[in-house]
Amino acid sequence: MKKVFLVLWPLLALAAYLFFFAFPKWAAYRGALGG
Amino acid sequence: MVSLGFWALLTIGSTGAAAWLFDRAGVRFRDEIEKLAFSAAAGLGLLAYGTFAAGSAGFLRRETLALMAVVLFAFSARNFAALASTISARAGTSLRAVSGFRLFLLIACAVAVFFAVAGALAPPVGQDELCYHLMQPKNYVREGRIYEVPYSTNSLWPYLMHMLFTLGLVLEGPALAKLFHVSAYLFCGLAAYAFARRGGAGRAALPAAAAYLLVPGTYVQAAFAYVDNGLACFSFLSLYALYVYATEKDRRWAVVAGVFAGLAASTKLIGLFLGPIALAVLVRELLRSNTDRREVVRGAVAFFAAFAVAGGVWYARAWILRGNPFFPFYSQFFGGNGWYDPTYVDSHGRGGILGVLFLLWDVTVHPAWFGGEQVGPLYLAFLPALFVLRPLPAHVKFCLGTGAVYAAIWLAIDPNVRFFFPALLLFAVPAGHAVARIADSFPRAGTAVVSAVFAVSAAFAPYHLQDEASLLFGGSRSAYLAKNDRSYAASRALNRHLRPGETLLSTGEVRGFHFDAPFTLEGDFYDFTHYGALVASPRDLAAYLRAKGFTHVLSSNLEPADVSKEPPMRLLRVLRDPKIAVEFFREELIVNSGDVRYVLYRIL
Repeated sequence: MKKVFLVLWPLLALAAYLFFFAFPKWAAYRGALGG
Repeated sequence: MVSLGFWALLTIGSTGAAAWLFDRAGVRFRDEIEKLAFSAAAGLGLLAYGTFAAGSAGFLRRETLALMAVVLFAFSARNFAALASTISARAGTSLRAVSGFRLFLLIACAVAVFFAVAGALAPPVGQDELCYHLMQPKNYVREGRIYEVPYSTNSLWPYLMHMLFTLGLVLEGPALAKLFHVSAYLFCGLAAYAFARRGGAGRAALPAAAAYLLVPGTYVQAAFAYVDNGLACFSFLSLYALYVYATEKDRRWAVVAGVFAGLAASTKLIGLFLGPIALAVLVRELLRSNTDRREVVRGAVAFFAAFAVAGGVWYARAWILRGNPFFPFYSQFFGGNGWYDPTYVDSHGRGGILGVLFLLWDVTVHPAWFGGEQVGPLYLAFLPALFVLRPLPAHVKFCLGTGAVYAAIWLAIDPNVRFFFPALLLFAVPAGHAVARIADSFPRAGTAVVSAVFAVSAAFAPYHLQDEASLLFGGSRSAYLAKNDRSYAASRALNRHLRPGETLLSTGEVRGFHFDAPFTLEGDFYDFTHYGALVASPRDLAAYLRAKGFTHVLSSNLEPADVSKEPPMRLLRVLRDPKIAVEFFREELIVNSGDVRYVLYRIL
């Protein structure tokens, strides 16, 4: 159970990050500093 | 190359000088890496205060500061060499035994650092650095002294990092100025590394450093003349020293903690958060059953005295000159002194208890709510693992506790991601602990997953900073500036057009760094003078502006479209009426730069 959580959670977090942030907002940050 | 040479010279000199001071003060470090972490960061403070003292006395000249740098290097290089040779001997031994995973982390950190340095060497294009982080140092350099810039809301802020930017501009230019922020970024990684080792978790040291160094927000910001990596570095080292004091009760560590808290408060007003956080740590120490309470009280006095000495001068200066130590904030307590905007919070989470519960998710997935800087996936991926990794070591619990207090104050006062960097550095240590445990417990699956998370986070470095890196390989700097800074074309035209002694009052553009003439924001000028009520006609207005020392007005379509609610004699309105404007404000130059149309008027 512990192994499942320790390995699966980072994987899920990475997938969620890519799905909810990185792909939809790929270029957003560049404008925040330079734009 | 000149900037990198100066950077190395100043870093070696200042680190060696700080190490010498720590030796004289009798501070006992766990090992040479810990000594290097504290000495390198304290060295930045020494350089900054040296520049501040020289500049405030009116000696802000290249010869003076170059002499200071050479003397510092000559005096301290031996101390640095002694420190570096011990560390490199040990590093050589341990590198041969490094695992594939740790080698991967080292390479990923090297990639992020390379792009941060490439960004620092590129011309400045960031909004805030062009508005004030480099703008005010440029004013100081032009005047040859550090002074209260007229009609400026921010020239009297705590400016420790800006003293380094000033030093960089005097000695070389913007590249050296920006490299000092890279220094602060690197020293953050070094501090996290040293603290993980202090906690007895050598295997977690590199993952802890990587957890901070590979945050997109920290390495991208390191490429700009911003100050938040400096704030994180000084804040973290203050709490690190307080942790050592709490465990060893050697009062010298309480003084070190106070000095670094003072350096944090000298970097940004937010550094004052260290006061309540340290108080919480000390009260907790006082309440422990097996503690020497009298010593803790003495340690607290030592901490706050050192805090005041190392950080008080900026607040005293603002209080004396503006009647408000926090000018222009908290005018409700100290009076506005020309500035009555008490708010600074421009970022918000979802608020309430949900905002606290979802903080980790929100800052990761909705950075736009908090100012836009990316935290990346590292913390969301690693910190929850701590729930099943108990019992946690004392240094990890310390970081989680102090980080939580910081987060609570941050949420209440100004939830902007870059102001959260100190907490990110605190949480990097628990994150590193979790990574080391996952990788060690599950060498194949665990290592593969955490490596993927680090890889994604690091991949934003080439994504965000590819233009800057291309300049190292022959890319055109003027094409880069034209693409990334709207004010560049206008500044080139105006710098050719204006003569020495002529000055600019800008009604729309706030990016003043690339303009060589003294550059005042009309918005700030208006808030200080409320000139709309002092003049009755355009003729009076022109005479008033001339009497205040302005020769030109720079207008642009960056101004608000609707100015009908402004006083009739405010420049924004007067310039919109061509019949009136032509009589007192002569159009001299029009520059189109991207979507922006700049018009330069001479005040007649």
